[in-house]
Amino acid sequence: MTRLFRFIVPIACFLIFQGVYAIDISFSASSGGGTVGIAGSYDVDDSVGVSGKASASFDGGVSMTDSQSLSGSGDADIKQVMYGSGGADYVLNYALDILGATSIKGTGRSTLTPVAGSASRSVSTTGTSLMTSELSGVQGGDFAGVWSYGQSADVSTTQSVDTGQSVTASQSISAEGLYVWAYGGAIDAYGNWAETSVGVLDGRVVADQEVEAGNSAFANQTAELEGGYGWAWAAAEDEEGNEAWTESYVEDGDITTGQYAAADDGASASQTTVVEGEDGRAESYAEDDEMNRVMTWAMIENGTLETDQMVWAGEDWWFDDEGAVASQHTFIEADRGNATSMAWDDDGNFASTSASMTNGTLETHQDVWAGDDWWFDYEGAEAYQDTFIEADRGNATSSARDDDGNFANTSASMTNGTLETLQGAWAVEDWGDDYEGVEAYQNTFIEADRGNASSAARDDDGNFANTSATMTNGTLETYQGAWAVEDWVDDYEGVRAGQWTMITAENGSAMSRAEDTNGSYIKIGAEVENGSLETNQWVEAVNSARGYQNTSIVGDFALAFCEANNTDRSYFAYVANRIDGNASLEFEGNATVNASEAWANLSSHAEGDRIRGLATSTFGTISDEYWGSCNYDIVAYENGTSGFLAIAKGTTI
Amino acid sequence: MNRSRALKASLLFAALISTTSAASWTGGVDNVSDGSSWWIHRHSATMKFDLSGSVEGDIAPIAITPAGRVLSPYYSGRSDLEANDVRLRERTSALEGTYSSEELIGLRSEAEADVNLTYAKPAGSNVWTITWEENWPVTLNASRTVDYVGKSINDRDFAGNNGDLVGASFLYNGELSRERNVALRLDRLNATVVATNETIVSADVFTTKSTVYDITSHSTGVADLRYRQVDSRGDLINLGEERYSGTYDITRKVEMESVYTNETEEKDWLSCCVGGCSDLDPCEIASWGEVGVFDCACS
Repeated sequence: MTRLFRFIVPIACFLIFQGVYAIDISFSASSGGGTVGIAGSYDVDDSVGVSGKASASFDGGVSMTDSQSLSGSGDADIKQVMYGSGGADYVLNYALDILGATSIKGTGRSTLTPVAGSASRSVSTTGTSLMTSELSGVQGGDFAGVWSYGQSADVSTTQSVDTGQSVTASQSISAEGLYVWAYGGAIDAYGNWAETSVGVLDGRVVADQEVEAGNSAFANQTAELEGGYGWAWAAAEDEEGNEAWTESYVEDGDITTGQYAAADDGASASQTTVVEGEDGRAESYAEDDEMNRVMTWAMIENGTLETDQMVWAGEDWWFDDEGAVASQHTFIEADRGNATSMAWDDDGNFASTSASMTNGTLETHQDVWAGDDWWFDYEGAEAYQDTFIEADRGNATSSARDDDGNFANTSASMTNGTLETLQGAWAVEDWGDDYEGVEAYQNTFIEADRGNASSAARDDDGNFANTSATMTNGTLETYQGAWAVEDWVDDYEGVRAGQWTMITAENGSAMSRAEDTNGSYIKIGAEVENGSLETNQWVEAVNSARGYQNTSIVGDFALAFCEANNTDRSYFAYVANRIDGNASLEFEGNATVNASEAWANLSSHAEGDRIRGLATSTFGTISDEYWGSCNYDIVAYENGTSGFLAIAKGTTI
Repeated sequence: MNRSRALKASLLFAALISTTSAASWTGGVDNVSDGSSWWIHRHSATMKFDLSGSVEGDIAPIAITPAGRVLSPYYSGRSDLEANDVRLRERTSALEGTYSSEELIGLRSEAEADVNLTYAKPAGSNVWTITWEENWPVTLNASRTVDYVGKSINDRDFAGNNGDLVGASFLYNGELSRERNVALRLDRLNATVVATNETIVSADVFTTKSTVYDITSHSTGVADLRYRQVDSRGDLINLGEERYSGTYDITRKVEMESVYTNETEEKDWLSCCVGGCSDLDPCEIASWGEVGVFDCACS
């Protein structure tokens, strides 16, 4: 209702605030129960010339055409109403207000019948202190209109409106000045509305806009702008309250965009945009009538942003699903760049994914979703990205938090290199058999001076799990993830993290850690220098913690370990292999800690210049040192009151 | 002829009415500055109407119930014809007596041509010229004779044509015989309003039309004859009203005609003057003369 009021106000203003020096000219014609007419109010300076012609025809029903022209300079305040009745009643409104123009040129045409009307108006002004040109139509409760505005500007705009089956309005504007703005809006009789707008401060705009209302509402625009600050947006909301909008803006730069918004059994918005400037942003948002929300955006500093974005909110997109969806495909080349997508469902489940970089390029596909009844009864929030970064610094991260407080995150970052990642996070309920929780995964490849990938999860009880891989001057490839879940299969709940990682680098490490609610933790890890490391690790915490790794290392240095630590009762178990020089290590280890014991063991094959095996607990430490090639089986165990350490070594010649 | 005091009449009417949908248009100029306003409304149709008929009989009392209730004898008749402000109106009422009349009416009107509005205010001037052009012709020809002898008859008519009017009223006549012929023609209309931002300066309705009203009568009561002719602004320019009480034989023919052509006015083809002389007083346009025209020069 508020928006409808906003549309009606200009019409009311036309009726109420006619110029105090205006001449009103009216012409109407009737035949066969139909009526058409034109009424104009003209308040123009002596320096403005006006001429017009209207013709009423009565052959085959009444109709009217008119044409008019405007020329000169100075001030002009012209308002016109065109109407038809006796069929599908409609009214077309035009208002032109020009102050202090050094030149004015305008033309217009209309064709009216009792059931349909169309009108077009073109005006060009230069050196205008202020100008507005508005053209709109209303029929059967459907409304569409376009507005052009210029302040201290040169404005050239061509506007048209049509009624009949639906009400459409369009305009083409080319303007340059201190402040120029163009807007199109449509609302149908049911409350579906769509709007689009473009504007610039201290700059120029070239834009085409079109809006339509008739059992739905649509708005689209293509725009090019350049200036100190510029923006372009499109928005829509359907009668159910589903809402979507898309927007782009720039500071000290330019935008080229195509945007679309629709309210038609749901709301959707999309844009294809290029932004180049000191600061730029393109974003899209959708929200359904139940408060499932999604948002996606991309932003830059000093660079170029190319993005395709789409958002939707509604019901029955596929089958019975409902919610909100957003996606973007973005390319950035800039000093700084970021692309982020987020989703919130109506229950409080949240998922996000983000990629950012410094001094380089970033290309990303991102998708987010929040809603209910996806497939069957599945509901929640999800976020995904497929990203490639080549930059001084790059980062990609995804996270999810469910309505119970379970949290999962996965992240990859690098310095001076490339990062390619496919990752996602989701917070869901009723997936499969009552499963609920959060998960985050990534499949990442990094080639850089520094690289890191990590995943973590914390459940609502405080159990925590993390896995990470790091390298310097090399490559890192990892598939990893973390999840915090409830009611998985037979009521299982807890956290897990795991990774399969391959590192070839000067330095590389892969670590995993799980910590239960009591603070007891297990930690497993592997390190390499000047070589390669391949590891398969996983850890979990469920009122206890345990972990496993299977690792292969070849390099100047190798280290692999497993640790179990009961911090509450201050006992632990730790086993490790370390190789210095010409290292080759095949390592398989486990670690477990709970309220009653800590236990760690390994089984390995080691080769190198200096090979060491280690087992330690609160009771003591035993170690072994060797060179060449050997096999180890090492165990550390402690339960608070007793324990044991054992190293078994086998050698081959 | 049955003399049982019943009305007997022989009637012969032949009427043909052919119409298309009616058409109308409205034009108006309002000056918000001083509240001055001018409006015009026109209504017509593409139409053909023919009527011919005669009546002869006695106006006599008739018994309308078995108990012998008698209806007083009278005759009354009326006709109203109108197309695009071309009118013919007739009223007749007579008491007991003998009455005969013959009538022939033919009406043709067209409302198919476009109605055009043009408006212009040249740059450098504050004078608006707003013009409507209509080509909706009407032709109305009517002839009528009346012969009456009896207690009393009132017989009135008038013919109007876009502001012009001719008519006659015969009142309280025991004997009346009259013959009347009317020929009305409307060709076109041009309505021009000249206004400034301050006020409406002038409004002229130029109609090209002719009105002919021819009457010959013998009356024994009151005979009123009148005519009126107006100019393009509706101001009365010719008026005649006469009353004859007694027994008179009258012969009268009135012809009125207005012809306006679409000739270009001096002020228009000297557009440089009108468009370039911003201080031109619009009130002087109406009296624009040679001196004013040829002394006007644009710098």
